[in-house]
Amino acid sequence: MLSVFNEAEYQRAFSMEHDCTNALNVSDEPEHITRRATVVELAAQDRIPTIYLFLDFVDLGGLMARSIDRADVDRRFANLIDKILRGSNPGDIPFYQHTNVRWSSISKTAKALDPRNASDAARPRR
Amino acid sequence: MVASTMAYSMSGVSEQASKSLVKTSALTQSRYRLKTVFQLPKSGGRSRHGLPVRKIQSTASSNRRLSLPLLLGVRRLTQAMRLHLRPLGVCQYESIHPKLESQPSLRSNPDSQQSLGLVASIARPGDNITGVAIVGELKIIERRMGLLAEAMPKLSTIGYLASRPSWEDSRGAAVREAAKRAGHFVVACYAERF
Repeated sequence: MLSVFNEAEYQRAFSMEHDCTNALNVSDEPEHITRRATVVELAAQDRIPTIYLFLDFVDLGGLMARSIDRADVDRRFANLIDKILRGSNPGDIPFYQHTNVRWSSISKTAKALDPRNASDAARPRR
Repeated sequence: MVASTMAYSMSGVSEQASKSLVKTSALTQSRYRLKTVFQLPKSGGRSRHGLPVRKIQSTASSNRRLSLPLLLGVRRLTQAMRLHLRPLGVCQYESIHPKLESQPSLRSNPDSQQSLGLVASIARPGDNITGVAIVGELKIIERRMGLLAEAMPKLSTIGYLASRPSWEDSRGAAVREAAKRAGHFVVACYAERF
């Protein structure tokens, strides 16, 4: 499944949005994580202010993200596996739903994009 | 080796044999040593020393009674790895559990994880499923758009980078609703083979 999230499709999607949008919201499909470098790079090329689904995108230079802490998710996974291996039935263990959401932004990217004054005219034409 | 020792020893060798052992090359001796350590019982059910042994050894790896709890643990771990350790998209999940596609009632509430078709109930998922909801509530989509609007006062049109299933399910509906409430337009930037 993941192979269909390819670079060419991202390029096509970014070329589609270029003419008609002035900001971008990346959906919370986990498949984006595998191509996060491509997404951040294309957003930077287009100079489009973008909000991402995970903080990993901000680590790569993305503008901002509002997301759960993935390291905490991994710890929760380890706890679940421990419970299952100790004999608990997975179907009886409730889903853990995060309530603490972190917001992160990168000032360098914000300074480069200047979203306060961003408009379509400021973005390079393709 | 004296004659009396030879008479009482089960593995004793004659003087003639002792002499031939000395002539055995280092390579052959090494091979013999290996054979001494790793050898199966003889077909007669006796060791090379003539003592009775069991031809079929019963260990934790070959005894089903002993290995059953281990097998169950490994099976659960495999399921956990398949269903929980990989970040699953809805499409991927539905390909594993196609029966969820035939239960539209699970999608009826647009503001919950159930609406994504992941589980029947978060408190008691049932089947062999549990996990951590990494997507979060649908409200987070609205908050993200609110942050964008706050950062960009001149914002009028927001693109939504998603695959077609995401745009068409409850998440896409939440985006459209949030944009409508905030007075923005939203344009989907999806691709068929995203």
